[in-house]
Amino acid sequence: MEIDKKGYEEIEIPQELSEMMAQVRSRERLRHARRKKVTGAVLAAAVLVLAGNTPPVYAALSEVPVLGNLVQIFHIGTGGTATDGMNMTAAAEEDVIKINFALGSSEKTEQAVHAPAYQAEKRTAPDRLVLTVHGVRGFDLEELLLEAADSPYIRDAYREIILDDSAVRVVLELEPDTDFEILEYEQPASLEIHLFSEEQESRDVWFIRSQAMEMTEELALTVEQLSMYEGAAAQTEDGKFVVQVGEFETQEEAEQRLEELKNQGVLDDTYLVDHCLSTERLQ
Amino acid sequence: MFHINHLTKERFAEKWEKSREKYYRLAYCYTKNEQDALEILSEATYKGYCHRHQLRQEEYFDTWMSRIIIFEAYRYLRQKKRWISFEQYEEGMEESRFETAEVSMDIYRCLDGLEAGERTLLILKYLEDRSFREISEILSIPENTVKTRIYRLLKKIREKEAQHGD
Repeated sequence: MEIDKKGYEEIEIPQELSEMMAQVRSRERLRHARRKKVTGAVLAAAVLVLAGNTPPVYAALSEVPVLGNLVQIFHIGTGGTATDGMNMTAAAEEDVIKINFALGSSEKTEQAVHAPAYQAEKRTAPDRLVLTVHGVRGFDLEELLLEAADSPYIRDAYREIILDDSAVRVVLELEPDTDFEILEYEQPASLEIHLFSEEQESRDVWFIRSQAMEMTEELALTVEQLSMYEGAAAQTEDGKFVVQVGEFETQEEAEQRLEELKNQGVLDDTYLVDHCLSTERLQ
Repeated sequence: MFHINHLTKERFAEKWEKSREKYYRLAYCYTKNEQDALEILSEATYKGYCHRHQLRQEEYFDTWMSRIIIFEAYRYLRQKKRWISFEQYEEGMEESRFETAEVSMDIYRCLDGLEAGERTLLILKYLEDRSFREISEILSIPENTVKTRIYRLLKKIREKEAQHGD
């Protein structure tokens, strides 16, 4: 059969095509750019005081908004003061999540001076920030989770059930090429999670995992039992959860660790070695 | 072990620029309208660019990008409901019937009467000269299914042409 491609070959190529790639690139940049204007000023003062191990993401500064005193800036780590009976409220914007702490009953509340004890961890597969705040009895996170999930930096936001009923854990799954910094303030106490784009390496990671399950107390119990072995809950592609144990660069390391933990009676035969991209959820 | 080298922004742009005219023609074949084609391609390129990390092997860039454009075209057509009706197809046939030699087949013109999925097969096979294997990779369907569908489609077109010839 002879094919007449004249019509196809004569399709006129419009001028716009030569600028399309540049437009696409600036559209993507724009999506990620707005944050700098907001967070630049806030961080500026902090960077001057506490150069520390903070990545120098923010350069320009103009004015410093009135806030509590900055206690620390960090990526992962712990902070705050041991306490109990705190109330926690939070709100999210596109690139910043603000968490406030208050004391007292619903009739009479006052802002807390120091943040309660907390810990922030970064886990992979998928890349996520796991924030656990202790000594919190009351919280209102519904709105936060909805708003946070709308942020272009966040793929999903949810509360993870944990056994300790005086603590609350929030998981923020990050979009690719997203990083964060956490700022802790006192007088009044608050935490701010700043999200921004930063090229991130996406690599293959290996770990030991449980079977997939729903987010139930059983999951919480398993995570608790395995916490000393770097156990953590991770959402899978179909919205279930697995417990990941450890994180390894090679299959051999993961297999070896699984064998050890089986021999110690920590894990049973339902655990296996699996891998996926650090930015992605398990299948 | 896997060694995954993700596409950098620059590499994506480079690869895309190299084939941009082919991508434009692909998008154009679904709507035969410049503005629509630009919109489809721009949206598809943006999606590909934002998700460039998901492409695990660079040599599959073309397969992957074509797939994104095709699915973007389907989405666009669904949204705008710009199906070209059979009546238009017949009118088109009327005009150009005499120009078409019996031995050749003007695939580009034949696209008008077809559904989006059928168009894809013809564009990839006869206008972009891709192998059955490549088409099977782009559409994620078995190679034999691709062959059967294309032959069935050609038969259908020939029958239509024959009716008009009477």
